[in-house]
Order: sequence, then C-alpha cells, then structure tokens
Amino acid sequence: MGHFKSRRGISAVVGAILLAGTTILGITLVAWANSTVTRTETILATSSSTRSNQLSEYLTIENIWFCNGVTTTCHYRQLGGNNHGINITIADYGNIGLNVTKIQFNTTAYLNKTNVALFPGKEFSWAQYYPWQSGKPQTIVITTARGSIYTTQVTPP
Amino acid sequence: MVFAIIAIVTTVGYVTFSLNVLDSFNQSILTRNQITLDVTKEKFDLYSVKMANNKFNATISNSGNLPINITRMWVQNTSATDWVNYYPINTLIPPGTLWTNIGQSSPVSYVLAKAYNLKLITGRGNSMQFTLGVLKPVFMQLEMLPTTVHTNSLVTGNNNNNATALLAVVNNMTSSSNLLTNLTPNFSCRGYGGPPVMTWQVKATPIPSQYPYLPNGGTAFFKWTVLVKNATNTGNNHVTCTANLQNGVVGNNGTDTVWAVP
Repeated sequence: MGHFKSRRGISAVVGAILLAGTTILGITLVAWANSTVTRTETILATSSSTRSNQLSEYLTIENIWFCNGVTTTCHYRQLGGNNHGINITIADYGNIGLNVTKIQFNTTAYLNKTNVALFPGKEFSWAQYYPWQSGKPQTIVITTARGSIYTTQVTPP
Repeated sequence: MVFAIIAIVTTVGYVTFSLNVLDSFNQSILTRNQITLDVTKEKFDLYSVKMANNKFNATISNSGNLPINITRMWVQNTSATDWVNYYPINTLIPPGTLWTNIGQSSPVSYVLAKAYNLKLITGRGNSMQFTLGVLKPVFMQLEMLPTTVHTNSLVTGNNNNNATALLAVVNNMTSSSNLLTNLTPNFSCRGYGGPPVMTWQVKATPIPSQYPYLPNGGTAFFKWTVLVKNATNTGNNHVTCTANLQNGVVGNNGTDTVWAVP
C-alpha cells in the first residue's frame, strides 16, 4: 500500500512539473512571437513610410544657365568668381520637404555635397565654377537624401 | 486554450496592421500617380506677347482641363552677357481661358532693340520657353518685284514706278522652344547711279505690320509697296533695298535691287 501511495505522489510532482514546463514554454513562445511581430511591424512601418515619402518627393530642375562671370548677375560672380560658371535652380513641387545631398556634373570632379533642405513650394539656386564649352552637352545628376535621382542634360550656348 | 487565443489575437493584429500599411502605401502610390498624371495633363500655349508700359505682356491660353498656376518667369537678356533673372508671377489660369498681362508685374523693362529669352514655370513644374527677338541669324529673303523698271513707265507715263517688296522670314532656329515673337520688320533702300540718282518712297506700312509669333519651322511674309523715282538711263541707275527685323541679329538682312532699264 505504502508503495502505491509513493507512486501517486510522484505522478503529482511530474504532472506539476509538466504543467509548469508547458506554461513556461507557452509564455516564452508567446513572448518571442510578440517580439518578432512587433519588430516586423516596425520594420514594415519604417520601410513603408520611407518608400511613401520617397514617392511623394517631387523635385524639378527648373532652370540651368551658363555664365561667363562677367557681370554680377552671374551668381558665380557674386560668390567671388570671375570665370565660367553654371547656375542651377531646383524647386520642390511635392508636398513634403526634401534634402538634396549631391549635385553632380559630368564627372565627379565637380561634385558638391550641398545638403540643401528644400521645403514644399520653395526653390534653391546654386552657382558653381565650371569650365563649360559651347555646344558640349552636360549631364547633371541630383540626388536626394531619400535616394531619389533626377537627371537632365543641357547644352551651353 | 489561452495560448491559442493569444496566438490568434496576435496573428489577427499583425494581418490588420499589414493591411493598414499596405493601404497607406497604396494611397501614396495613387497620389503620386495623380500628380504625375496632372503634370502631363497641363496644356498651355503662348497666344501672343506684346509690350505695354515697357514691360512684357504675354497672353497664355489654357487649353487643358486643369487650372494652371504660373508661378515664375525667367528672363534672359540675350543681348547682354550673364543677364538672367526670375520674377514671381503667381497667376492662376482657369481651364479654357485666355489670360493676359502676364509679365506686367515683373520689374524688368523691355528694350525693343534687345532679344529676350523667356521661360514660364507652372506650379506643377512644367515650363514653356519662347524668344522675343531673334537669338541667331534666321533665313531671310527679300524679293523686289519687278527687279527692273523702265525709264519711261507705260503705267505711270513717267520715270516713276511702283515696285513690290516681299520679305520672307523663316524660323529655322534648331530648338523647338525657339518660338519667335513680336516680329516687326524694318525696310530701307538706297539709290545709286545717275545723276539724277534714283530715289524711293515706301507708300504704306508693311502688310502685316507685325507677326505676334512664329513657331519653329514657320514662315512670315511682309509686303511693302515702294515708289521708285527717277529711273533714268544714266550711270547704271538702281535702288538697293534691305529689310531686316527689329531686335534681330545685326547683319541678318534680306537684300534685293531694282534696276533701271530703257
């Protein structure tokens, strides 16, 4: 009889251990699942927001003109230069602000990290020394902080 | 059971969140598509450009079905070096209407003898560029009809003769944006030979007196009636006439000669 009583006590202990183990395992699984779902949600929200904002960016290269640095109307002249220069005006026609990180000419030799913040409806003019040649096309690439790339080609007069 | 409920709630929550994010992203794409579509649907043309109060007075027709906001006007004085400026315009043009006085509010004054390059910018980032005056030499030909006049005209009974001068101007500038506007011709002659030297008199203003605009590849014709006087048979008498455009390129002329023959 004593032997059977002892076995019943062991079953209760094993049962309690199994129950506790299952509970701990369940809680761990739920916690892990919650953490994973929350992390995935954050990544999804961030990615979606970044892409949406990039889609909402709308930059226009409004005007590009080449100057000889002769008069002060040449913005490059206003900056103290007296040689050939290029003037670029860009405008933000989107409904969110953007950050221009790079304005690049044909080669990286005339690369400038301007890091210009542009608000919706505003424009920005930028002047730079550039030894342009008449009739030789120039490629201009503008990159924003969100990774949008705007490209145009112009030919000096 | 409890864990199953938690798992179901978490899954449903995640799916709902994902759908919301997807919907929001979808809205962004739709908005962007609409903006791009609106940009392509903007349609406006230059109707005419005149001068009033020494300032530009452009008339724009909005032939699209969206209102257009002309935000800025870029002006380049091509007769000067490095002369480029821009001015705020902010004029809203409803669909299907003509809108005048664009440029009247800008501080820049127009000088007839100079050529200008103008560029209008819309609120959606579109632009239209056109030229006032002639930036480069264009094809120009003057024809005097007839090229010979008789010393004793059967028509007039004396040595005075009527001649017709016809000037053809072709906008053969390479860029399609080089729309020539406000074309006004000049005409003059010079008599040679004699004595007496032949003289001339323009009998009326040219017909037409002005072309409001000439698109790329287009041709404008101007006609004058000229009275050629003193056609005598002495000293190789002739009149050489020259026509050109106001605010055109110096040396870009059309020339022809009327000779006196017995």
